[in-house]
Amino acid sequence: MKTKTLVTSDKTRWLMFGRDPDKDQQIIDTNQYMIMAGGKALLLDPGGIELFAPMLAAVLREVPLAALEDLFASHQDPDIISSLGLWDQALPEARLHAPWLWEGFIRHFGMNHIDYRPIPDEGGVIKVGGVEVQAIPAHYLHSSGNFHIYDPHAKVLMSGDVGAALEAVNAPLFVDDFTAHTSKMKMFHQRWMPSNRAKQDWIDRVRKLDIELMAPQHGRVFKGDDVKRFLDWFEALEVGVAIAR
Amino acid sequence: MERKNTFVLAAQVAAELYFATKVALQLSLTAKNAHAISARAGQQSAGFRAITSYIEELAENTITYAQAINREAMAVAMLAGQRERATRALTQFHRVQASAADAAFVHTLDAPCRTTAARQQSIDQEFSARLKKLSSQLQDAQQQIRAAAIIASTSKIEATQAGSFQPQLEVIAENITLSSDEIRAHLKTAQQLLNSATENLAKGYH
Repeated sequence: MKTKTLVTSDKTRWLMFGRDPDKDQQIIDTNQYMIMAGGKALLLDPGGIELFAPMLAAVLREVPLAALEDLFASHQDPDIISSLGLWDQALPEARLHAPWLWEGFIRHFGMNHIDYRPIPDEGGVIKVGGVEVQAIPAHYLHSSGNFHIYDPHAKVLMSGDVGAALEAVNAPLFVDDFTAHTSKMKMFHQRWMPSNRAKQDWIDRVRKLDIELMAPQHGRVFKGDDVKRFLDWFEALEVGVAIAR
Repeated sequence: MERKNTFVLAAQVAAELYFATKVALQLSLTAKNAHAISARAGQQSAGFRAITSYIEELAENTITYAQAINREAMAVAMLAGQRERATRALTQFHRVQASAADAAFVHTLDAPCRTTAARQQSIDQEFSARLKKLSSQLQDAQQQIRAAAIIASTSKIEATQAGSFQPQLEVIAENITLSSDEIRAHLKTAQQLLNSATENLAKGYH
């Protein structure tokens, strides 16, 4: 599992984990992110059960286990949080911040010790080492209860499945040719995102944020002007196309 | 033969007891039916009527036993599931310790390793105690159902004395035999599954 420092601000440091060469090829490649601040850490979308050991090993190269006090799950999917039952044994004092809507479902992954902190529909803040980051509503993108994480200090938006692309495990970390990259994103967004109305609501909300990096859960990270390009492209894209016309 | 996980075995024990409970409920209905027929038959079936209360009691006891064992077996299955999770976590922790031996903070995994190993040990102790309890409950239930064989043969004899009610009471006597045989078979299967689970534990498998 590769680790890359995405950005360091005056208050936070963002790490990206992913591109695991030992991963089973049939498992979708995922990006995990960790925000470090004030000697503590928040792990975003910790990943599936198959990824637990390389993920934990990567974390221990950066912080002591006790510093990892908070986990965040953008939604309920197995590639997001099916490792929960193992984190529950490793971090019995930790908190899991996740959509209120999915609490009864996420607990099926096994959670006897970790404290579930439900995020209300309108979002909220999560503190990491005394520094606040924001849970931004992204409902129906693609899950019916869904959040992204915005760090105003580092100007990073962890955008979950929005901006995701399906590509090779050795793909570069950053988008370098936006136009070429759209072909890797188109089907994913049209098929997995069900609602044009929800899409527009999210775009309107996100356009108000000052974003330098947009970091999705699959594929490459967008930086600078590519963030704006992505929002324009996404706005023009019709989603929810699997139903018969 | 393929070795089954203990939580699968325990769930199968619970399922066998669930089936036994269902048959015992049928047996209870048969007993009530027998009571009604023998009451109508009056003096002709005095002998049969006397044993209907035994059949009812037997059915009720079997239900009570089977339900208690079912609950215990489910508790064992849950416990085996917890053990599986603790074992899986421990395996993963050891993998991390080996693959990230040079990581700056790998030593901070020592505490969760110890806690999880202790949890695993405590589950093992509870597991062993619960398996013993389950085995003892199962033996009691089997003892109980052995009495059914005697009642079944007595009821067959008594049915022959019931004059015009003989055919009906013979059907009832046959039902008692079939039900008790079926319950006995479920209990026997449950006992065999439980023996496999106990062997697993003795060999350190789960």
